[in-house]
Amino acid sequence: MGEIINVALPKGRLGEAAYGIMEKAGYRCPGVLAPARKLFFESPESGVRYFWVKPSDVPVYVERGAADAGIAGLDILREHQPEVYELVDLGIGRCRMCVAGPSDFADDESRPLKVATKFPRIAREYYAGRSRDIRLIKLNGSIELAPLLGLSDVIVDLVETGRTLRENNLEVLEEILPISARFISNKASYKFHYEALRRMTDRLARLCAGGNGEEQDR
Amino acid sequence: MKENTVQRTEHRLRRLYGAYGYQPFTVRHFEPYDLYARYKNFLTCRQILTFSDRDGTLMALKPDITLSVVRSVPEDGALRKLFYTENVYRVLEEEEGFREIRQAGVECIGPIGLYEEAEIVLLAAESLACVRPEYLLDVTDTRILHGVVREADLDPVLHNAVLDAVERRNIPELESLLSSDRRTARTAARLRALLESYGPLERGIEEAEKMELPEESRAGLAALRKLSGCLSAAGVANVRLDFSLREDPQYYNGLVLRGFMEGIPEPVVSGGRYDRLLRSLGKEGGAVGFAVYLNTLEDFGPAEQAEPAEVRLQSPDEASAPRTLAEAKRLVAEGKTVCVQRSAEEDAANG
Repeated sequence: MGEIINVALPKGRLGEAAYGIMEKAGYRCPGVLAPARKLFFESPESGVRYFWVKPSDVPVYVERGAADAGIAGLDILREHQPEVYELVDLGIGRCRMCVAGPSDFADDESRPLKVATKFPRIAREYYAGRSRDIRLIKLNGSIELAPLLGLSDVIVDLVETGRTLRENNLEVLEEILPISARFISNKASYKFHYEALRRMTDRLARLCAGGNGEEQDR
Repeated sequence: MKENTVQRTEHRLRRLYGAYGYQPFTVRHFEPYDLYARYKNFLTCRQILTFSDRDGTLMALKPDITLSVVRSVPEDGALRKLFYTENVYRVLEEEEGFREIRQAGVECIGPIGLYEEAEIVLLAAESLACVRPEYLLDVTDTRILHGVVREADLDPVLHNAVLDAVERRNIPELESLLSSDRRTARTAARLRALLESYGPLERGIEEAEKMELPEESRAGLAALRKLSGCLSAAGVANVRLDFSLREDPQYYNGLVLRGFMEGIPEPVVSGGRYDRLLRSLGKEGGAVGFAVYLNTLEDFGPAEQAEPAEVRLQSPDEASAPRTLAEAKRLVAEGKTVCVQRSAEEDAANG
């Protein structure tokens, strides 16, 4: 049997779009998108084995070598900073990491800013770069609720269209980082499967440069 | 009884380093905390396990060996070749606690020339081969990458962001960071070409030599060319050139190396030339060395079954104990492994 590259796909719409790009790049694997309880999908002809994992776990699988490569959002990569190679910007799952708050928000610089977020490292680094003292409130969901209930002054979160913010009388105050999905690889795998991973990288890069990476709402 | 992977590798490494004239070196378990606080950028892990000595001095469980070795080597101009097998103590974020890590390594300190550097690379390759033949040893000379980035004359924040992107092989980000004008776009094109030249050392050098590079980079490339000549003469295999390798230029200069093994997702060997660390400790001369992360072999290696003893004897009652003890001693003297165990019936009888 030829060389097989293990690829971790993020569960959900982003992963389905990512598989679409992999398929266009020549890494087709029948059954991957079919609803089933199967955990692995292998295509010896394409030289790939896919498996679906929780999006935030993709870098863990790749960093620890359980997957040779994977697809992860830049938000997860910057938050967890795994030791991986970030080889291609797939141009899908586009959104922005932003500071958002009430539309009439005015920062009281005489006291620390209360920031609610799912991304504590990104928030901490952003405000450290501006020498602004903050109090971090780590939440796991419904972040928009925090300023509305007085739990925080602002939030740091992903913004796609901004509709959820508008519906809650919040707005983007500052943009921290543009986000999109990246094709990543384990550093050791990249070296031991160099030809195969380099070919995969080149095909994906060519495809995405050609505009095949479509906009994707998350 | 069978040794585990770490013990077996440690014995092989000690023999290897001894065979090349390296002397064993033992460092103290504790060092004053100040030593690590002053050189924290040199450390892989900056959080340190501390405690107060009886006189109130803040002490640390050593998170690193190289600093202790360099500090204790006398400054008499002599070349010292040393090796160690020691524990270090580090914080591993994902495990939310401290961890004892087994590490082996070699340090060559004093007047360092081409031979000493080549010998260190050879020992790094042999260290990997001690464990399994499917290894890769990546090398570079930091001057090549730093020369290209320095020539672009970027502000410090952008300079570091570019080096971070190189380390992650993130070409889209590199091109975005360096898109401001034609000069920086040329830097991006050079960095891209360097990153894409990953491969066998000799071929990588040839590709880079064809490129138009600044003087600092050419000096690094010339040093690698000489090193490659030595390694070819000695038949050192599986050495590749990876320009994305990065070490802190405050302490490291020139050669950098990383060793990988098939099936192990993290580097097993890491090191390089660190004359600048010596200088920052107020010492003259050069230094080159590497560490072998023995715990990584344990973490990612296959689970090992304990090897059963060759001869099993039933546990004696008190009357037969002298005879059984003599029998066990005789078998061991014959080179056999013996395990004397109590019988289940006897255990039950004894309650």
